[in-house]
Amino acid sequence: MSFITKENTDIGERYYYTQHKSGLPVYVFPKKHSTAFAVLGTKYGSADTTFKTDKDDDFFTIPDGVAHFLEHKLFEDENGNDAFTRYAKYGGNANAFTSFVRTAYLFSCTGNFDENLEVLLDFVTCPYFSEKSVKKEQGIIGEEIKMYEDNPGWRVFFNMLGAMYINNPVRKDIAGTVESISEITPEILYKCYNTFYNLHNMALCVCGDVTPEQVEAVCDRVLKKAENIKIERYTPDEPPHINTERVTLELEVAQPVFSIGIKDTPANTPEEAMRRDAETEIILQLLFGRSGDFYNRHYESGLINHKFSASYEQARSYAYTEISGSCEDPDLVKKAVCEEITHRRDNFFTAEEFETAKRVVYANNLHNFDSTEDIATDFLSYVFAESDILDYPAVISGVTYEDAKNTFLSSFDINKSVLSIIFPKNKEVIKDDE
Amino acid sequence: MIFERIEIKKGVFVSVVKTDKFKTNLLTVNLLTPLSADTASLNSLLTDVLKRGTVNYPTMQSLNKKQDELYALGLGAYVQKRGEVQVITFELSAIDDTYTFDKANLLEQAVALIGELIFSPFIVDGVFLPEYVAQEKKNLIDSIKAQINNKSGYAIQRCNELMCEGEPFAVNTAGEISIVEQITPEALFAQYIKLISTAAVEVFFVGNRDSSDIAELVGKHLPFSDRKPPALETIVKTNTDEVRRFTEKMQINQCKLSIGLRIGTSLKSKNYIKFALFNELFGGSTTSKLFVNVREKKSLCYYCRPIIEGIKGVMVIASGVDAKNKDIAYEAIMEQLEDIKNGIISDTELYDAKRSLENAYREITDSPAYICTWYLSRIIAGRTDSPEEAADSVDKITKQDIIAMSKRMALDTVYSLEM
Repeated sequence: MSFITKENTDIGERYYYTQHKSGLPVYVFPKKHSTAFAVLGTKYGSADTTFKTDKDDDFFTIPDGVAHFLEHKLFEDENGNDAFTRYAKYGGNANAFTSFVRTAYLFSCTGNFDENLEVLLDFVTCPYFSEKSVKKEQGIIGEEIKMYEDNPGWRVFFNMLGAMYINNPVRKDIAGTVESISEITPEILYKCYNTFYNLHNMALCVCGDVTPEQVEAVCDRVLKKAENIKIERYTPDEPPHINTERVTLELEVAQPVFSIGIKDTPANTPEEAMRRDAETEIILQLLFGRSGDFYNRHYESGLINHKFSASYEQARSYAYTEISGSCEDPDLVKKAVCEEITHRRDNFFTAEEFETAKRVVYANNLHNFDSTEDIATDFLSYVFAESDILDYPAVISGVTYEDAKNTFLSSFDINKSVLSIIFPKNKEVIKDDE
Repeated sequence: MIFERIEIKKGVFVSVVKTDKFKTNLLTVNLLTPLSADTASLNSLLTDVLKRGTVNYPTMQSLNKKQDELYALGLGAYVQKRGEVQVITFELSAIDDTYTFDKANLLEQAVALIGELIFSPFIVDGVFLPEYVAQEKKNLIDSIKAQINNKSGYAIQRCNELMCEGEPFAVNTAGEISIVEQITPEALFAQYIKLISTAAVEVFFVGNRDSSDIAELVGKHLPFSDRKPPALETIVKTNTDEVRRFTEKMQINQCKLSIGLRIGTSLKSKNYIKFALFNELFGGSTTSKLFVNVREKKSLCYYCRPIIEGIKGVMVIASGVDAKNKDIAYEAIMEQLEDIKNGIISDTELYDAKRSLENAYREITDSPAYICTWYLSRIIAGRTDSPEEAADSVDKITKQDIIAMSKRMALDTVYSLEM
């Protein structure tokens, strides 16, 4: 089979692509590091709660938290052995994660790459779910959910999403709730597995001192040809306006923790999405970057501190800016943020400021090419977004002043901004020596 | 990976790992002094105040603008502890000159800037600007208070503090609120002068340059003078009197159980690698006894893992459990340790732990930050063996070695944070 080569000479990187005969898209990114990294992902995350295939008559709706539950369960085989044990023989260091739109299984290793890859491909393609093993996992994931309930960063983030989104499933916790996971059965897991773990809906990204031929040979040994089924996802219509402007919660924190969200309209095409990423990164550097007027003015007045940060996120059905931090008066921060945005609509930055911000974003992106883990996991995000990791540097360089200004005017609408705050519950820690 | 260490002035060392694997060059300047409650708060505040400005870049904004100009140069200053050694670290990460648009001599400009951050702070009337000091005192106090926000981290920190009560290791490197409140610009400046003129200096560089080039750059832009640094000792306690138990109350959903032990050795010892393998088998990997039995088989927790401080020779086994299962979890965790002491170790467990540890050591060579961390700890412990050498020495460790190391473990403190 032949591989297609893609190269970016500016940053001195390349990768090879082929669609394996089984149906699995395979990407190999050579890197002369000791550590090789592989990630096998499926376009299936916590937000995929209502769906059907071309063989189904009707849509299925599943309990919240199934994608993450399935991720945990896939590690266990029929005999109760887990994949960690199989990797262990070859020194592979394994993990997995679930986000709103994808589930990924990964490993890193410094030897026995082929054997480790064989384990990865094999366990992800051989599911086994039983009543007993589902029951056991409910205990472990129940504790994981409770751990996150005590995590102010996590809670303030999900409350922000809940304030922005009315119907979109991203407003719900990735792991679900103790109640929702209690409804999970082996049948539900098989239904989701058989829908989304089709090799055509997946991708393998490898980064390290490995050859495309080597990866292909392992795929040949393990993977069986998959039928290309068509998946239809139902995403409820999301109105452009927000759900609620302000949401608060009390937890054991020392100082209020906040997240400001600004809801945006998702991009229409993968190309537009990538340009939007580059433009908003530059805009956020200009508006709220460490060298900007806003950050320094309000740091010096004591309104904000070094925990203040801003980022832009987008995927299939959502897009938003998040500005977060910890301070005494989050309402005042939100007011200052909105005033800054309003002010900049008529007084956008200078061309020189824009060029510097662009250089910062370009240089920051280069750091992502120093770790095989960052490359492989980022690669997967780009693949699932139908775009290309090696195009991004040029897309950043190509952003014009006018592009940035226009995107600022359309994507930063303060009428679509929300504020989520975690207030301190009780500052006293009672010490009781037994 | 070749590691070279040169003494450029008495008490001032430059260590270089030359590699073209990375697009970024990393340089850290570490000032090492004995860890003590008297100076920890000053050192912590000092790193924050120095970041506020220099003679040429007197405001944070002008300094940040300079960093932007140098291709988003990463510039940081922070405190840490390694055993009972206080480390004040200044760090820069710069993209390699090859990747700049104009092939600029970025590294030299970057080293000059970190030199300015350390040696030419913005001062008025012979001391740091009082406004900067006052603002950073407030920020520091807020961030010390915020240590409770991360429940798991807080429970580990408290367990270490209680276990090592009365020992320098118990010092909170972020600082103590009551001490921070009292700091004056004069006292802070005096500590600054003392630190840069007397502390042991260890500079690390990982990137695409020869050691002689780096030694020259450092000599030119970081004018450290000859010095006779104080001895850097860490007291390693290997046994305990009686087990102490503490409970702290907080309004939280999940109980954090932290079990503190003395490991009976330290990174100074040539036996340390045997302990590291014991730890891997006990709780360090996903095939370890804690992961397989306490998490997977008994379904008691989502995480249960040992956090090691090798120079001090202490371990905290951290877990998050349902409060009603706290005692069951404690028993289950200790049972795993007893099993190892009794020689209940299968050949597979031993084999898997070895592969996992070897892999962990070899992965270090792919991260500039991990490389610096590795050598900083090693040098403090008086050794310079490489991650590859450590990996190569794992296989010959025997089951008997692991049993012997497990028998050195001494339970010291049991801490729980719960409703």
